[in-house]
Amino acid sequence: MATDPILDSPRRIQELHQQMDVQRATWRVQRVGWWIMLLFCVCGFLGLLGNGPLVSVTARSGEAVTTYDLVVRRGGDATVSFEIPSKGGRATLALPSSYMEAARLQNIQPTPIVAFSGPEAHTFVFAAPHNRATVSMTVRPRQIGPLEFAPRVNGQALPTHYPLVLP
Amino acid sequence: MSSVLNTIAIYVALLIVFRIAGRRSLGNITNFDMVVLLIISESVQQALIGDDYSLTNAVLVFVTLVTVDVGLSLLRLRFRRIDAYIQGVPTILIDNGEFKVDAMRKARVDLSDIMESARLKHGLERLEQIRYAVLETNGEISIIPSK
Repeated sequence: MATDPILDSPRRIQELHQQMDVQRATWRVQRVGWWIMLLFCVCGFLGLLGNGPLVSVTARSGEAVTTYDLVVRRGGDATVSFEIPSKGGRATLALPSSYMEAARLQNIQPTPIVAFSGPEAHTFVFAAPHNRATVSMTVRPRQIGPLEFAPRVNGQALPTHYPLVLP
Repeated sequence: MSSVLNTIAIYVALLIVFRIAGRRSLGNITNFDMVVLLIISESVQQALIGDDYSLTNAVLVFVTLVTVDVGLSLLRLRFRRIDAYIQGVPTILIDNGEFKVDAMRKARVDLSDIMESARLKHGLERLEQIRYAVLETNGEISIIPSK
């Protein structure tokens, strides 16, 4: 006889044995869950969830070098650095507008001597008296998922990268 | 929108983690566990409210939390199987005087825990005075004395 679900509970202590299959399944899931939580902690410790040495990658294109994190977090600070060869005592870095919308620029060092924005890119010009300029910027991603990162240095496009933004 | 989604995500994550942690983590709350709970609330607070410190956002977050909780309780009433997995089921540790050692081991309960409950709730002093011991869904051990 079908009963209302609200009345469908054990009424005698011995009937609790009938729910042991649920309990056993729960214990199995718990034990798997403990290992998953441990793995999660280890991944966090190693930096695989962002903010760690294992996700930091360096990409070279000609004389230009870019260092960025493969995994970053939405709302968290991420550091991207560039080594840009000097061209007439100047080094130019252009970041696509789509990237600047998806990741808010928090800080850029050194201070650019010129900065301007166009419809397609934000461009920063740095003084580079010693053959190259080292630029470090801090961004705070605002979107979740792959973040298209296609910078241009001295007018030359670097390979496009897709760091993953975690929630 | 992100406040509502973040709140739901945090609710689900906490539900899963505390179910994985097991009932023993809820039943015996010590002073240190209280501190851990406070740290947990502090750590999720930023994800819940983000950069928006407005009253509207605060109300939105806690109303979302309460709404999800009420919704889940209604679902649990309607679907008893879901209730058993979310809330857990009572586990018999001593069945008519017989120890269920495997259940005790898996539930991380030892004899001293059972005797402690027997002393606290019924003033029992010997194991033979216990007929049934049941680990309840809230992590407490209920004792039914022998007649």
